[in-house]
Parts: sequence; C-alpha cells; structure tokens
Amino acid sequence: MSAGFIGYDLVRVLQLRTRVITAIEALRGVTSTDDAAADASTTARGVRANLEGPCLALLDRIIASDALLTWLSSFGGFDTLAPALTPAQATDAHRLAALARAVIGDDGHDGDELAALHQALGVASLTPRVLVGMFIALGGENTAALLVRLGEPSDDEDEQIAIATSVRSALATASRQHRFPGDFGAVLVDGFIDRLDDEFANPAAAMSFLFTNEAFGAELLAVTTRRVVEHERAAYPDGAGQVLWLPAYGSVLNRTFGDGDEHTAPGWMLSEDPMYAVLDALSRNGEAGRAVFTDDVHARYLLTERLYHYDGLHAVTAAAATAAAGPDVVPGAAEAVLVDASKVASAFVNFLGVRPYLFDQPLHPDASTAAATILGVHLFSVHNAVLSPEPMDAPAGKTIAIPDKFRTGPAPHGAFLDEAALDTVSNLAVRRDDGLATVRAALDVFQQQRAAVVAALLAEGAVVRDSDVNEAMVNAARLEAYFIERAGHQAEAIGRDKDEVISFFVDTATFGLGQINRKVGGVPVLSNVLSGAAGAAKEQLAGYEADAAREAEQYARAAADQLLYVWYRELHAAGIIDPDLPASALAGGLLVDWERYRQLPDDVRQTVEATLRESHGLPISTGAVIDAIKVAQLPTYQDLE
Amino acid sequence: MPSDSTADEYRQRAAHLRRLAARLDDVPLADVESWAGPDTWRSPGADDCRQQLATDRQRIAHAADDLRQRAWMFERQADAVDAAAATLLAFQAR
Repeated sequence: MSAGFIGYDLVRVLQLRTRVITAIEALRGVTSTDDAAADASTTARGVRANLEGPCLALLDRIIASDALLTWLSSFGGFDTLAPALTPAQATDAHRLAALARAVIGDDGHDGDELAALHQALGVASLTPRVLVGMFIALGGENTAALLVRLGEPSDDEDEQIAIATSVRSALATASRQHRFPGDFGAVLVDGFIDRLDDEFANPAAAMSFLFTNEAFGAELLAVTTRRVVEHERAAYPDGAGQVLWLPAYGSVLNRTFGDGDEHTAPGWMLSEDPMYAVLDALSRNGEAGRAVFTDDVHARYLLTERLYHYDGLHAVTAAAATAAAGPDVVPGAAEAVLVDASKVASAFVNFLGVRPYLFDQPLHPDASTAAATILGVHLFSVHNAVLSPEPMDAPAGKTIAIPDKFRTGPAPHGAFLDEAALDTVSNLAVRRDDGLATVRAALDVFQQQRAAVVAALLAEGAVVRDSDVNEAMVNAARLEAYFIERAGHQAEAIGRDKDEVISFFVDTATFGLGQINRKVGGVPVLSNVLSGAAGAAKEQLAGYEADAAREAEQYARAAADQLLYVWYRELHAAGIIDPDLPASALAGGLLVDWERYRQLPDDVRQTVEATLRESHGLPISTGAVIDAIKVAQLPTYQDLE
Repeated sequence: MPSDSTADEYRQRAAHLRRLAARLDDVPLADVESWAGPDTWRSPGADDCRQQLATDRQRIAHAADDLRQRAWMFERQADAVDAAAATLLAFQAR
C-alpha cells in the first residue's frame, strides 16, 4: 500500500477518479485565441495541470497499489481469478458497478444513467473477468435490485429491456468462465426475495427474465436453485412455493416472454413463478442439475412436493432428464458423472413415482419423453428392477451394485428403483407417442447390445451355461413385456386404442442404433431370480380366459419374433451358429438387419427362422420368450373385459 | 439599429467570451470537490489535493466572472459605437 494514506473508500476513490477525468476533459475545451480570454485560458490550463498532476497521480497510486485487489479478494472467491484483475480492469469493474448503483438509486430512473450503463455494458473490450469484478463489486443483492428496477414502469422501457438483457448475458458469460464467491447466488436470490413487497416491483418476473434463454455456469446455477428451494420450503412447507412469488405489479420485462401453447401457460404467466425459469436453466446444464437432484431434500421437494400449475411438469422433468440422461452422460464420462446421473435417475423415479395425483393433472407430452429418456439411458437399472423388484423403505436417490452373470470383475452400479415408483414412472414414459418411441429406441439398442455381449462370450469359448443363455433371452422378453403392458394400460387410460399403441410399440422396433445409444453402468445384467420362466408363464396362462390370451398372443409372437431374430443375428455374427441361409437374407456374410429382414418375402423368412432354430444347438425356448411377453399383456386385456 | 463592422466585432467577441465563461461554469469542479472529501480518502496528500481543488474552483469561478465582465464591456463598446454612428447619420441628414 502506498505510504501516507490513513484511510479511504476504494469505491469512492474510483468514482472520484472518474469525476477528475471528466473535469480534465471539460477544461480541455476551454481554449481561445482572443486576447481578452488569455487570462481565463491560462487559468484553465493551470487547473487542468493541477488535476492531471498531483491529484490524479495520487489517485492512480492508490488504485495501482495492491490494496484494491486485496479488498476485492475479501469478497471470497475472487482469488480464483488467475491472474487477478489488473488495476485498469478493476477500475472498469467498479465504474460499471457504480453506474448500476446509480440506476438502482431511489430517486427514479435518470435517462443519462441508463444510457451510460447500457453503453458501458456494450463495450466490446469487456472481458468476463471484468464482468465478474463488476458483479462482485455490485453484490448479489444489488444485482437482483438492478434487474427488479429495470422491470419497473418508466418512459424508457425499451432501454430498460436492452440493459436487462445485457446484464443477463454478462452474468451468464461471467458465471460460465469464472467462479463467483460461494454465496453470490444465494445472496442474489435473497435480493429478489427482499423486494417482494416493494412498490411497483415484480421480483418474480425479474428472476424469471434472468434465467430465461441463457446458459449459466453450473456452480452459480446450482447455488441459486438450492436457495430458491430453501426459501420456498421455509415459507410453504406444503409445496405451494409458487405462492411466495405472487407479484402485485406487472413488469416491463414481461414483454420479452413468449406465448404459451396448449400445454404451457404464456410466458408472462409463467414469470409469476420463477421456478419454471430456474428449472428451464437447469435443463440446459446437467452438472448443475446433478448438484441439485442428488440431494434428497431438494429432489423430494422438486419432484414430489412442489406444485406446478402452469406447465404440466415440463420444466422439472426436463431438468431431471438433462441431469440423469443429458448429452454428457455417456460411456467414457467421468465415474462421478455416471454415479451422480444414476442417483438422479433413482431420485427421479422414486420421488416422482410417489407424487400425489400425478396422473390427475394435465401433463405436458414432453414430461412423458423426459421420463422415457431417463428410463432409456438407465435401462440397465430398469432391467434389474423389473426382474428383481424391490420396494424401498422411503423414497431416496441411491445406487446399488447390480450383479451380472456375463461380466467379470466388480458388479457395476446402477440406479436403485423402487418397484411401485418404477411402475408409475414407466406408465408416464409410455403415455405419449414420443415417450413410447423413445423407450422403443432405447430397448432396441439395449437388446441388441445384450445379445452381442452373450454372443461374444460364446465366441470366445467362455464357460457359459446354456440355461443362462436361455434365461437371458427370456429376461429380455420380460423387459419388452413390461413396457408393452404399460403401453396398453396407458392407451386405455387416455382413451386411445390399446391395439394401435401396442402395435406401434412392437412394429417400430429396429434394433439398430436409435435415438438413444447410451447405457450407464456397464453391460446389461441378467437376473438370477428367474428360472423356468416358461413353466411359470404357462401356469399363469392356464388361469386366463382364452379370448384375452388370444389377443395378447398376437403381439407377443410379433415381439418375440423380432427379439429372437436379434439374438440369432448376433450369434450368427459371432460364429456361434453357421447354417446355410438364403442369400437374400445375408449382407456381407452377416444376417441383414431387422428392418431389411422384415421386408423379405414370407417364404424366405420362414426358411430362415426354421433354419436358425434348428441350427443353434442351444436350448433356447421360443415358446418361453413368447409366453414371457404374453403373460405381461394379459392383465391389460383382462382388465378391459 | 444602424451598426458597423466594429460594433459587430465587439458583439461577436462578447458572445465568444460568454460561451467560454459558460464552459468554465460547466467544469464539474464542485462535484470533484464534493467527492474528494474525507469520506473518500484521508491523508496529507488527500488534504493537499482537496485544498488545491478548492483554490482551483475559485480560480475558475473568477476566470468565468472576468470573461463575463469583459464581454459586458465589449457589448457596451458596441453600443457606444452604434450610438456614435447613429449620431453621425442624424447630423449628416440635416
């Protein structure tokens, strides 16, 4: 620190420097060639020299000292900026913050202040580092206050919206590239809450605006979301958190929100409850979503308790889907990401599955797709839960080790899915066509991969029991059947033709690389619980009415045919079976894919199927596969009698 | 009113000096001085700066007053020239 200083306020020092520069520029304009003005010109030059000399030099010595950076560091988190702000950057940051404070001021908007802030935010040379400095200098509470103020009515609404957009963009950019002090997001939310009762203020719209259409850094977004949840839970433990935000006034910023549609309320109405915008922002950031949904308290609140009247669960399910099954949840991702994604999948199923009156409210079609996407990416865990159903004592998000007969080494971990909750969420997943197609695509990939794993083991000469192979095929059929059954039920529940829906589900199988080509937690797992599936199925069938069985049979046979073909194709590709097959069924020495196969003439397909069944030498029970699928459908048809 | 080039010149100079004075008035030294108080900084150097600012603000104010006074004189001179010219015209018309 420079010698001779007793004390100073650095923000005011920076503002003083700005004013000195303004005065110097004003004096520079006082020139004249008139002899009568000679004395005045001399005085102006002298005063300017004084300002530029000792006064400005003194100010610059303070700013250039390490005192400013030390002071900034005292906010916490600033030391993560490497290197820290240069004095010039710190000056810019504080100049921006000072302008923002002037806009927030209680004296009403001054057009010059708005214009100055707008102009300053638009300077191309502003770096994210300077922007972080500005927001730190301004503080979370004042950042909220600025946005709230910019939403209040005035004669400069266009300018206000433009500035608010710049502020939003600046905060998002800065949060993506630098860490903010740990409590910035929480204080930001507190700032909005503190203004709920202000005259002409609409903090809900301001906060909704902030989190609309921008991608925020994961840390800031997660901290913000958790704080919103904490405030809402404290105020309305029954889940009616939206009441906390109900605005008494309109907002200029409402002009920026879009129209609604048949499933979602218009933007100005959604903006009455900023949770929609916050969740929407989470749906663009899986890392932030995982930081929120892996906490059971927050997951329970958001998925089980919190009421959403305006969007049919679109935002919350989209946020969870990105966290559990977003584009960064892929094979090869960091172990921590996959584990957290599995926890979110578990939380999604277990908490949403016990949500009261889930199907008694209008649901957005995308909620079905989101559920299907999560189940699809975590089909490994779903498969385990279907074959080894297990209730959970109390809903939670957790992972479990899932044993796998066809895998060496430690058992991979997957999502623990409560039996009843999985039933509910599976019904949600297949409730709409997009969800149904998503599940179908995921099953295609899953079944093909599992067949390939078993075929590869056999090809390598691994010791694999015949009964295990047969069981694997039957279990694959059980998984198909699990979703076929629910598709039929849901079709009836929403007034559609069950046959049409089941037919769609069965007939759209491609067993190629579909929309979802991911799995979490390693290879598909086979249950050791089921044994003699065929026998059990036949016993169950014996009690059912013939008509129902006949209707179920039709789809069971179709589903079984394609499932078996997938398995035979993988066994053939691995060289386990090598019969003489019609040339039209082969491509490059391999059996054609299912799409092409199903288009072959009936007689060719019958020949291929008969040849494959006779040649494999494995005790695969076609009847057991068909029965496994049929049994699951029977309740659907019997319920409808 | 009759006027000659000398009177116009005086008036133009007066207007120029008044504009210059107005510019001096607009130099925000009072604002600078108010921000340079002890709530912003406290040190011997700051005291010196503050004292200099006060002196300079007075100098600027005096300079502006001086310009306005000179402008007033030019305007009076212009009026005198005009009056003299009018008298001369009246005399010649007789």
